Amino acid sequence: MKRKDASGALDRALGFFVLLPLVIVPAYFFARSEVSREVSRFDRWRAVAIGLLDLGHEVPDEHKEALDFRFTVKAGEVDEFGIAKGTVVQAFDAFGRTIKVPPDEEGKLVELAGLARAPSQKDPKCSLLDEEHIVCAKTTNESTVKGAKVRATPVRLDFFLPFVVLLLGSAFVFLYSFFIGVRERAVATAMGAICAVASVLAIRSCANRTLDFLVASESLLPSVPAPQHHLETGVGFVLFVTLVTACLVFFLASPAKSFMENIRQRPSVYAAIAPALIGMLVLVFIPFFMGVYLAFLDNEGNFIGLQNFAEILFPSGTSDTNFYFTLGVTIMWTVLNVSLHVVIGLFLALVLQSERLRGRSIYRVLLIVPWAVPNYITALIWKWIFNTQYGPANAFLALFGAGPVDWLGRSFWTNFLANLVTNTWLGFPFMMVISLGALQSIPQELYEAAKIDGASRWAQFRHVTLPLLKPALFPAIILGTIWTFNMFNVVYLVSGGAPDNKTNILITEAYRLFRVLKNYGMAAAYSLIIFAILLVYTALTNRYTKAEESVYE
Amino acid sequence: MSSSRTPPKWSSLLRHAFLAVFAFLTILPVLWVIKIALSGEDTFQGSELSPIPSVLSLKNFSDVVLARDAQGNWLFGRQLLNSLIVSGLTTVIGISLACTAAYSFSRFRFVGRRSLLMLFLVSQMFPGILMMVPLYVIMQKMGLLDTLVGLVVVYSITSLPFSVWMLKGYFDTIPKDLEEAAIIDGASPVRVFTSVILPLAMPAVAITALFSFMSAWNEFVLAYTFMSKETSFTLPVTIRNYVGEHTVKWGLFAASSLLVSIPVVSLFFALQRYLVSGLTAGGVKGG
Repeated sequence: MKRKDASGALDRALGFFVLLPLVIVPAYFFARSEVSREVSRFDRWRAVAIGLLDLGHEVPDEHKEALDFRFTVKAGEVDEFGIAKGTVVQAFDAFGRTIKVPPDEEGKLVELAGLARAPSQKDPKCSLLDEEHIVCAKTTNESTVKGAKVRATPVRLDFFLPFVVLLLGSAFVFLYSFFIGVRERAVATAMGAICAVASVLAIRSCANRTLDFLVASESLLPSVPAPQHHLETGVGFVLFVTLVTACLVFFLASPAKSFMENIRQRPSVYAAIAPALIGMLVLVFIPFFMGVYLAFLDNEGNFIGLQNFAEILFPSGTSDTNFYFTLGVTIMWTVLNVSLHVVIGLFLALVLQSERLRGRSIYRVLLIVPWAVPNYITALIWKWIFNTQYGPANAFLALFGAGPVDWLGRSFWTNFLANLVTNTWLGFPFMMVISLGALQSIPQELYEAAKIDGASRWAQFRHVTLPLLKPALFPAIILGTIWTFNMFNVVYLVSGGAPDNKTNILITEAYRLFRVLKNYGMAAAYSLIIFAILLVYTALTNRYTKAEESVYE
Repeated sequence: MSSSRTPPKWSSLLRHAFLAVFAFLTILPVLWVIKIALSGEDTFQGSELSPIPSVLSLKNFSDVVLARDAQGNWLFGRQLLNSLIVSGLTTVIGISLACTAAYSFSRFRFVGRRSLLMLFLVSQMFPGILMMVPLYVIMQKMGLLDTLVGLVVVYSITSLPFSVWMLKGYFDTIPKDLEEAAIIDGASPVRVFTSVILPLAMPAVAITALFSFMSAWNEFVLAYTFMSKETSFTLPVTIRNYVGEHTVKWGLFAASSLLVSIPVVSLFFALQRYLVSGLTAGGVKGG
């Protein structure tokens, strides 16, 4: 191989600087998430072990059904034996309802004992009083509330060492590639892998130290045996990290190098894009990948693999609005809407097209009003129009003696129609404007030639206008399809999914999972499926448009 | 369509009749809203078809404009200011970022260009609901919750992909010779961009700015999620809240809708002559 010059080496070195975070950062976050999961499991265990001290509080009869109680105890003093005194301030049952504290209990000084633990806001049975005090309570079979007051040391995972490893590792790779030149990618690959493994191991050892500290403090409570909590670092794990890192470095080394070469040659180009790119990274791409991660979690934050997807794609069949029903509604919604937009828009454009038409611009302005009005306002206007009692839609029907229709009531079709009419009103101006623009660009001579050939108006439209409109209309239709497919505002604000979420399209159904059912994992999985559908659609249409274009060229 | 043998006079009369009826139907909902707004009743219950207002009362408008919260803060003024600041800054920041990025994408071939462009395009399809929770967490970490800056940042970045694609498509149609000529005349790259390219790309820039402004001015889901104080809401959130689950204040809704729509609709009409050229030459055709 040819000997590299110094600047080439610099490029490679810089390339590694870019590359390294790509490798190490995911490894770091992976290890950290494991550790925090371990710590939170530890918290749960701690909460169960708490029912040790009798607070002397009888459970009121009306709350007997709730097993777990939460007590808020005002922090008192902590003596040298770790026994704290506090006053009962507030009590909640497991459902978060406030329980009346009996008058003789209120403000009563209670003795509490306990030890350091990680304050966890996740645990519903424990509450954080102030920086140093938390209290947990649990009912026993005898229905007395028992609780423990603890002096808590906030647990911070100490990640100083891993950062040192990261820094040293990257410096090492940097120096390495600068002096020697990365002729063999394999060596670089090994370097990256070692760095990643080392940092992950370091992170884990830190975590284990933290866990040890927790366990040690727990075991001060004599009757509770301290559990062993350690993160095992098996061969499989090390192999996994090594492999992933190796693959990443191997395949990214050369693009990273040329990328850096490019940056050095054209710094201004990258500088021009950088702000946009960094913004997109932080506020679009990172949230996206965090969202993707959410799709694999249950509501407690446990990793459950593909279960959310399985639940959506293989519904159990008890509910009548499953994914496939909603998908069907969405497809029908999209096809009907886009066809109506195109037909109405194109027709209006053809009528408006004539140069001699007087008042042409007035008509045009009036016809794009729906586009200009904010679409949530439009949706709400139409919700009013379809109101059963005082909406103009029924007033109009009454002119013909037709009875009032409960548009947004129990019928699927009237709800769907209301949504459809709203969105048609909203969407045709876009297609009209696009068609107008495309029509203007068709040379007049073609029509003259067609006339000379004796073509009828229809034949002119069919053989001249339509083919020449296609290149402009096609992308607009694709764009319109994506917009309509995800037209949240109209469906959400007009029918709101009534009846029984049947008129929901995929995007509003995902929102329902998110907002109403608060099932974030499922909502994320649902959204990902929507994304996949759109991606496939665009990929297919993209191919088709390219094929079309090549025919015309 | 009428057949080719129809005399032109009839054809044009038919056109006018059709367009007049269709245009009337199109603006009918807007006329109704004006009527409700002028009705003076906050929970409008009338049910006549006629779009001509029978009452002319400004009570709904004054109710909306003069609304105050419990602390006596003037809500409408605050929220209008919020909306103006957010939309204005979003447009300015979004467009300046998009212009520079789009120009680089259009004029320079560099490593990662194609894949970045694809990424921008694909990100348009990212479902908003998927991003909501993470975005909330990120905003919280950056301390941007409940601040106008937070909304500006989110809006201007999320509008970027569309803007970049629109502008890039338009820049592509501007011949390179012009820049080369300017460079030969001794103009710096920055000058070439600001005094040759930007003026030529005015239709696309105007339309992109319009869309940025509109999307920020009209957005309510994120604004509702990120803002917790009534005084930091933007106007769409308030309007949305007039149409509640149980009581719907159609009168107030109509009045505030008109107030909110007027700036954006007039902006839209001011720039609508660019719509055709900006859209067809740019985003839709670009690739």
